[in-house]
Amino acid sequence: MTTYQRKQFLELVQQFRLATEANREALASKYAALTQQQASHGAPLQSVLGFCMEEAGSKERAEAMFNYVLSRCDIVYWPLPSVEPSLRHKREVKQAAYKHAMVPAKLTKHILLLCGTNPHDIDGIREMFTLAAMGEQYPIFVLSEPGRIAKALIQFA
Amino acid sequence: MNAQDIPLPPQTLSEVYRTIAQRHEIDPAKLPKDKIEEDEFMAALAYNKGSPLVESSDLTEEMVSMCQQSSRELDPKGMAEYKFVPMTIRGQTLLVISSCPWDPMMVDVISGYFPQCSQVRFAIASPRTLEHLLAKLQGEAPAPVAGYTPAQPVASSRPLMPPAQSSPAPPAPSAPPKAPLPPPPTPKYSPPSKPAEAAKQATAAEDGLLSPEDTTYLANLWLQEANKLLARKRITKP
Repeated sequence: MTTYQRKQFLELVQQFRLATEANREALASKYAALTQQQASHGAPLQSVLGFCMEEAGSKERAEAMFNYVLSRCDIVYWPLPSVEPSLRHKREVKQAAYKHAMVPAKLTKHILLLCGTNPHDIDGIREMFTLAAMGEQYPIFVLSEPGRIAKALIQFA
Repeated sequence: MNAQDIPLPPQTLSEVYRTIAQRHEIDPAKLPKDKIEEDEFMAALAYNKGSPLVESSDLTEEMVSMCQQSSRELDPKGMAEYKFVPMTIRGQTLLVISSCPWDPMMVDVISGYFPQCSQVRFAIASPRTLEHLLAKLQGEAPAPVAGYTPAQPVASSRPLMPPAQSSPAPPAPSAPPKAPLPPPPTPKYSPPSKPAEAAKQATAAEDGLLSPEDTTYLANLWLQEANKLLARKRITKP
């Protein structure tokens, strides 16, 4: 985890009251170990929000976490994330998508629609835009559930 | 497509032109507005609003089915009139596809049907795409309930009485509902003016009564509420 990711992680953990002050670091270590393992296997990295939702303890609480994030930002919710067909064979796009838990959902002459779970992941948006946009498309970012993003990521070749 | 085909508020329209001009690295004043393609215009509009753009090619079976499920209680004619289709609800957030999310009535009307949703977020569609979606919904919608006759529009919901002063069109499609006119300076009641009393009204403000602007505001407010009630009756299937 980078320092920025770690800061975000600890903020989310605190917001969702997932751990006591003493256990926050343990939870951060658990997340770091998990994502390291995923990276070594070339698997999509678990998003911070997805991890928190899994740690929630119940489905209702996990849902409430996502709704909380949604209600706290102006970003539009998108229920149908899928990988733009013309980008499914692009290796670099896939790697960035796996790393940031973000999919390029639509690419036209004028629009690049990116769908992710982390409204603060500016680096991810920038990287995905650089790799996926072919011209000067307008970038638009929308939010979806970690589970739906994970399913969409499988569409990459 | 001409940009004039979409009834955008002037401020929104100029922002769209500015965005397109920036993309082409030209002076907004020199932008050939009549040569802008519909796709690019809608894309710039969506970008400015931070909303996803729904185009005809996006109207997959999955999306149509999702819209159908969310709009099953609503009358397609009402949705066509107000230019929106609810897509889905997530928590307290309602996602709506609309071709005019900047309409100040929009959030009010939608909130009336989805009181459980404290937030309304928009995906933008061109009027043509929205028509396409509505046609798909109507084509696949279940047969109307026997005996149901759609209510005849008694009065057009828009436009309301013209405001006393011309004011710029309200922005912020995703912002919480705002009053279309500024609040009246004094919450006093005055009966609607009659032509013969028009001259007297000039001095009304000085006498501490409502001014003509206040009366217009109150009349607008009344009409707006009446329209909402009418729309609710018209749009909701029995």
